[in-house]
Order: sequence, then structure tokens, then C-alpha cells
Amino acid sequence: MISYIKSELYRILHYKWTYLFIAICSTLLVSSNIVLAAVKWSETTFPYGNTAFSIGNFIGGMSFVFILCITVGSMVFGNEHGNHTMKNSVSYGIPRGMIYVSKLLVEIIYAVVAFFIITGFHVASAYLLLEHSHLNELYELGKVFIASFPIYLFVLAMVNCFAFIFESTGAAIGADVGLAIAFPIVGSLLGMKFDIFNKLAQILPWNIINGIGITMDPYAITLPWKGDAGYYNCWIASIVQMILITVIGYVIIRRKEIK
Amino acid sequence: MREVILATKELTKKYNNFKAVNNVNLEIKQGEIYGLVGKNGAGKTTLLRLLTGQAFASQGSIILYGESSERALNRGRKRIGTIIEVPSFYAYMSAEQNLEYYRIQRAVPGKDCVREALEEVGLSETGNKKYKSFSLGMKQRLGLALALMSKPEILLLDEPINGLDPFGIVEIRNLLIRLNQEKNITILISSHILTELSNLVTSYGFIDNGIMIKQLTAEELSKECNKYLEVKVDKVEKMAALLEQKLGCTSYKVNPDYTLHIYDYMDRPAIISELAVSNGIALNQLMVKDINLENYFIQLVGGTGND
Repeated sequence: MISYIKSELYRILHYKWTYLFIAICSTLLVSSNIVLAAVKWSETTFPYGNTAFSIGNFIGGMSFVFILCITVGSMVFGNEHGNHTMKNSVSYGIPRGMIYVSKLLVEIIYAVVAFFIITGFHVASAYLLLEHSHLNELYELGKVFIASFPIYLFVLAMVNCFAFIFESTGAAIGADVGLAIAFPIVGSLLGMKFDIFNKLAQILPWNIINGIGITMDPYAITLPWKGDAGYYNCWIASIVQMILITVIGYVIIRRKEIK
Repeated sequence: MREVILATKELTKKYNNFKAVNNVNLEIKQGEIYGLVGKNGAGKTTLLRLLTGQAFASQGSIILYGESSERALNRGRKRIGTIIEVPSFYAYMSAEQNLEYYRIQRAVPGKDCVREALEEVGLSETGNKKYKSFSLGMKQRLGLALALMSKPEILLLDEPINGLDPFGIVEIRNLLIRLNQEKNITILISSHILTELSNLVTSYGFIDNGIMIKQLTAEELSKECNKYLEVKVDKVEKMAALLEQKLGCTSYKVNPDYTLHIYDYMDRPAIISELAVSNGIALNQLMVKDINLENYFIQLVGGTGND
């Protein structure tokens, strides 16, 4: 498995979109800080030209990271079905299950590295360009990362599962969007009428990530559940769903014929 | 007696009610070059996909190095190099990068094997050129380089000369013969270019509608195809008389175009040429006629062509 992971890392290091993805996301976030700084410079009473607003804005946009995880998973998967490259590995006696798990691990490694680089650029540019708010912004950002990390793991596991099962990238992304976004939205709507759907919708990752936010006064993050239970629930709900979808994918891929 | 290293027992692959491979019993001995012959859709590629683990058998078993469990088959497949259907690689990487990716994945020690494999197939000069810009022939060569990179004991090659120019075909044929003779690599090769197979293989398997209809050695096929020496001389009658009187050969035929077809002495044509020259007969042509594999194959499958 280590060899397979190493080879995948070698492959993504030779793929230009590996770098372009990070560059584009970082540029967009740095640009937002440049805009805030420019407005603050031209209008001294502008209240949002500070690190608290910039990082709070980032924290409030965690559902955007959720969507980006779908892109990252699909990108790192490398269109194996379209390229027909998986047959080279299977023909060499590498078990399908090992390929499946290794791909997921590489997707997680890339996503974490990309997240820290992009976040690093955003935070650094905020501290360089904007007024310091001294409100423990980085501490709150760290708390958000801890709460949302398992949700991103779920998204990556789901993307990996569907990427293996569906031979068309479009169908796989359609399934991702359907399960990760449309299903929770429908669940929430039904939850307004039926309590059981309400309870189900609460533990779906998309709804959890949308429940994560920040208040400015006091400067603190909010989770869908109050207190420490908020973190536990985020982790338990996401990890259980991640394991479930990983196992389903694993079982299916072990009997899937490779073209 | 050479050891059987790859075999199938009543191997069957069904897609709904259609049997793409039907009760195939195959035995490939170490050091053999086995030619798998069949028309399009006969089941050649499906059989190779089953052997390489890309598809799963509906019935029957595969025995690789005497073992047939899934774990053992996967272990055995590490000693096999394959090209199944078209070679497939990452479009945005060069030949060297693609091979390096698989070298790391397969934990093949030393980077030299990548360079050696590229040199072996004539792709060492491609530099940074991306796979997406390769011609079909270059892609085929890269597929072969991958198959050879991990120093396999068996090669499973599905139409490996597709897309190659005549020079490429000769190069690859010579390479396969060399690998077989020098490194004792066992080769299973399927091809539509039947005359090309006849220059290479030591055993044949003819497959049609998923059924292995005949398996025989090249020698047996040669006998069945009635291989002969074609002789063109200026005095046909005299040559015929000499064949009978001096060599006691009666298995020959005089043709209306004044050629002789001799069904003996295939392995010793010098005797025929010496007989002609020493008796003052001008020898214009002496050749062993190729096996007419196409005709044999068409006869075997009933001359129905592709379905």
C-alpha cells in the first residue's frame, strides 16, 4: 500500500492542476484581503478592514470548502476510468481494495496540504494587509478546523467511492452532489413537516457544515450543537457516515470489473 | 518435459446469457510462445482479461504457477507483463514519468529498469514529450516497455503490433523472440495478423465464439498445413526424375507454371539445391512456402468471417 501511495503522490506532483488549484484558491482569498485593505485605505471608517472580519468571513464559508473537497477528490482520483490506467495496476496483482483505500488516503493527504497552504496564504495576507483585531482569530480558526475536519473526510470518502463505482466522471460528480448536498436539503425541507426527517437532516454533513459559523460579539465560533457535545457530534456523525460509505465502496469495488 | 505455468480449467465468462468465454481449457508451458488466434469478438481479449484479473470468471478456474486462490493469483501476476487491448497511460506525463510511476507502484528497485525498458522498445529519445502526443505505434511500444519493466517471466500480449509500422513489427517480433530465447520468457500473444504469428509462435490456440476449438504446436500445424518447398528450375522433368532416382523422393508435385512443390526436405533445402546444380540444372528459386495460416483458420472456423 505504501508503494501505491508513493506512486500516486509522484503522479499528482507531476500534474499541473495540483498546483493550479492551490494557486487559484490562494489568489482568490488573498485578493479578498487586498480588496478589504484597499477599501480601508480609501475610507478609514470602513469597519471590515481587519483580521477578525477576514478570518470570520473564511470561517463562515466552510461550506465552500465542503464543495471544493468534491473537486479535490475528483482531481486526485485522476480519471482512472477514462484513462483506463487502473487495469495496469490490477493486471500486476494489486488488489482493488488496496487501490481504493490508497487513493482515499492520497486524496486526504492532498486535501489537508492544500487546505493548510491556502489557509496559510489567506491568514498571512490578512495579518500583513489588515488591521489586527486581537480577538484570538487563529484560535477560533483552529477550533473550526477541528470541528469540520471529519466532515471533509466524509466528502472525500464519498467522492472516492462514487469515482470508483461510476465510470463517467459526470455521473460520479452528479452522485456526489446528490448525496452530499441535494439529499440534506430535501431532508431539511421534509424535516419541517416530519420530525423524523428533521432528526435525520441534522446529522447530515452538509447541514452540519452549514451550522458552523461565527459570532462577532463575542468573537466565537458556533456549532450546530451547544458545548463540547458540538465537537463530539460533528466527529461521530461524520466519521460513522464516512466509514459507512467507505465500506460500501470497498465491497462494490472488490467485485468490479476493470476496463 | 516443460512445466505448465499457466492453465485454465473449464474457464467460462458469461454476460447475461452470452458466453464470451466458454469452458476454455488452456495449458501454457514454460518457454512457449503461444499464439491465440480468433476473429473479432471470438473471446481472445475476454480470456486475457480473465487471466489478468480485470474480469471475473463465471465458472472454472485459472491456475498460475500451480495455484488458483485469489491471493496466489495476485502474487503470480507480479511475475507477468501485460498489454490488454490498447495501452493506457496518463496523458499529461512523459514516457519516462509514466514508467517511473509504475516502477514506484510496483516497488521495482533501481531507476535503471525504466531507462532499459525504454531503450528496449526504442523510446529512449522521447524526452519530455507527453503521452497524449504519442502516435499509436509509440503508445504500443510504451505498453510493451511497461510489460517488460518489471522483468516478467510471462508476457500476455493482446494485439501488441497494432499500429506499428513494418519496421516496428519486425523490431517487436525480434525483441519477443530474443526475450523468449535468451531469457526464457513465456509469451501468450493474440494477433489478427496471422502471418506475423507464424513467424513467432511455438503453439497455437484457435478460439471461436468463446470456445477453444483447436490447440496444436507449430510443428503439428505445419504438418496440417502441408508445408512445402517451392523449386523453380529450367528443366522441370529432369529435376523430377532426379528427385526420384537420386533421393527416392516421391512426395512432390509438378505444377503447370513449371514449378515443383516438394513436401520433404523442408529442413534440408541445401540437398535440393545441390542436386540441381550438380546435375547442370539452373536453379532459379528455392523457398519454403509460408504456412497459410489464414486459410487454415478460415477452414477451421467454417469460413464465416466476422459476425
